[in-house]
Amino acid sequence: MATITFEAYIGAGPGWADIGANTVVFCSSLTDLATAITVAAYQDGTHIGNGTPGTDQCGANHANNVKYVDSTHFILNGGSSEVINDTNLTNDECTLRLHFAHGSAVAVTGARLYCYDGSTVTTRATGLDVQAFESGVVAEAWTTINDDSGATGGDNTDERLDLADSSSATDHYWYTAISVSPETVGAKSAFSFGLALTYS
Amino acid sequence: MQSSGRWIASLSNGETVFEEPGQPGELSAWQALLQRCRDEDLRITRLRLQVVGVTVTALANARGFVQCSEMHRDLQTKAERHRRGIGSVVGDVVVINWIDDSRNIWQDVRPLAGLKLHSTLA
Repeated sequence: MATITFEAYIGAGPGWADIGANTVVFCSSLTDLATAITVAAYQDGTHIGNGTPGTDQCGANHANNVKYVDSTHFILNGGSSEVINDTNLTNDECTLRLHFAHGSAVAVTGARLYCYDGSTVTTRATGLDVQAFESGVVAEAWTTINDDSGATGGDNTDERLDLADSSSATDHYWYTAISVSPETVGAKSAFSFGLALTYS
Repeated sequence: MQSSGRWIASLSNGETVFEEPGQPGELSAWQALLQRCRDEDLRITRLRLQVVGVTVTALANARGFVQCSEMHRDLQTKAERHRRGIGSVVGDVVVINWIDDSRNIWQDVRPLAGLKLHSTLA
C-alpha cells in the first residue's frame, strides 16, 4: 500500500511528525497562528492548525518558518538573512518533509510539489505568491510555484517544484521549504498544495 | 482508494508472469521483474494491465515497456487520486495507457527520460 504523509519538524523533540488531518498555517508570528500577513510581505510564522487556522497543534516546538527574502536568500525562524543552499538550510530546518511510503521497494520519478486553487490541480491559487525550495539537491534559489497576478501556479511544467527521483526503497523523503505572501487582503480559501509522483 | 489490479507480462522464454503483491521490504513485483530480465537476459514481449474488470494492452513490438502508478495527495484536504498505467517505448517517448479506479481509460505520451526507472530500459 502506498501512502503520502506531510510532516513538520515539531513537538517536544522536536522531530518530524505527520501533520495528520491538520493543515499548514502561514501567518505573521512565530508563536500565534491567528496573525494575518501584510499584503506583499512573506510569512513570519508557520504552524500546524486544526482548522482555518483553528488552534495550534505544533506542540512544544513550532514548525520551522523559512521566509523568502529574495530569490537566493531566506530567514529561518526570525534570524538573519542567509544565502539559500544545503549548507545554510539543513534538512531539519525545512518547512515540510514529504514522505512517500510503500510496503515493497519501489522506484519514484516525477515527484513534484505544486500550489493550486484546491479544486483543479492545474489552476493556480488565488491572491498568493508562493516560493518553494528542495533541500539536498544542490539547489541555490527558490522556485516560484504560485504567482496569481503573474499567471503562474498549479501542477504545470515550470510552475511547480520538481523533486528528485529516487531509486528502489520503501521510504522516500523530500525536504522542502515553503514561503507564502498574499497579493490581496483577506483569508485565502482557494489555496492548497499537492504532491504527485510516479512509482513502480 | 488505492488502484487495484495487476499487470501480466509475457516473456521471451514463453513464460507469463502475473503481478503478485510485493513482500514487505523486498523489491516490488515490477522492479523484481526488471531485475530478473536483466539477470537472465530476458525481454518482455507483451504487457497487459487489468484493473476493475478492464484490460488494456501495451503496443506490441516496442523497444521497451513501462509499468507504473501515479498518486496525488492534497496537503489540506488529504484527498487522493490514483491511477495505473502501462506503456510502450517508441523512440524517445512512452505511449502510455492509464486506468483509474473509476474505470476511466486514456492515452498519454510522456518523455522516456521521466519514466526510464519504470521501464525495461532502466
